[in-house]
Amino acid sequence: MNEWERPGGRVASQAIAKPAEQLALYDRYGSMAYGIILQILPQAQQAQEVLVDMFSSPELQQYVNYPGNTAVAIVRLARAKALEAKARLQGPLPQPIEPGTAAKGSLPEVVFELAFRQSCSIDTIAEKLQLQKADVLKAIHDYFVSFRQA
Amino acid sequence: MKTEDYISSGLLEAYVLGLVSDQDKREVEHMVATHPEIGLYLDKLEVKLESQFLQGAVPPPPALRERIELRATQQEVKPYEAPYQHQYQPTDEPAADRSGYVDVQVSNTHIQVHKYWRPAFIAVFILSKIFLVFGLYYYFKAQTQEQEINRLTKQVHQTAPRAGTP
Repeated sequence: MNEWERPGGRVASQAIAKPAEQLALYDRYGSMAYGIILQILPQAQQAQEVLVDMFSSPELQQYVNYPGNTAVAIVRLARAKALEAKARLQGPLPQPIEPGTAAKGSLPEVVFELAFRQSCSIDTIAEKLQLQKADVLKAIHDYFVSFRQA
Repeated sequence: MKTEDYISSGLLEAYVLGLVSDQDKREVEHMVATHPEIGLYLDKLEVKLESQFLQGAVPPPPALRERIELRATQQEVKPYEAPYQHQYQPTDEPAADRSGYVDVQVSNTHIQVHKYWRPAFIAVFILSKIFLVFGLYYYFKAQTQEQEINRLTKQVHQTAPRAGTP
């Protein structure tokens, strides 16, 4: 999940991170990661534990001198760590999707909420919301387009 | 599917965020490899997503940085905490390949002592100067007195025969 490769030779560095390098990543992306973790785990104390765990985890080491977009890799790692902690603290994931969930908000927001923050697979969302898989993916695209325009 | 349609399908956003299945992931990677414009779009998309997620950044409490620093330092030291877990076996491997041994070679030529040594050293230095001054003073004083005694002794010897003559 956290392995991040891009076709064309982008492979994560396996160098061992030194404390200074880990702190440099924290100084740069700590706030962003904390914001993402809080979206998934709203309890501040639990979110802080996840943040500390994330920035001192061995997984972070592969993002030191990372040739790709480090921010996106950090986003994925923060999400994975937060979902892992959420499953540990609050029970198994994914959360069941209540009928009529799509009617509560705009479809892109609901789909993003379910896919990114609640770790529902695209197929599960499509099945539960009675949509085509292509519509679910389009909703994710629309979510970011609307976010950019806002 | 046309490239434009593929770009607006949402699959690339889902791919970047790690929301796709392994099959979709392979499909995206194949498309990126065969369509350079999709790779370029993916690069731009990553930059846009970064700026979007940065907008939602929340500054964590400052104390967390110290905790991360402490834990990172402990992790760095951790492999050396239990030296008896691994029995030493001489090998022909180069030294650089062996991990788990503490590098005891110290390049720093300075030593660190307790801060109380500073006033103690200053006191010893001042006392040594005082003793030096007193030592010189009494040395020259003793020299002067010895010269005076010699002079008086000569004077006594010169005057004594005269006093004995009738």
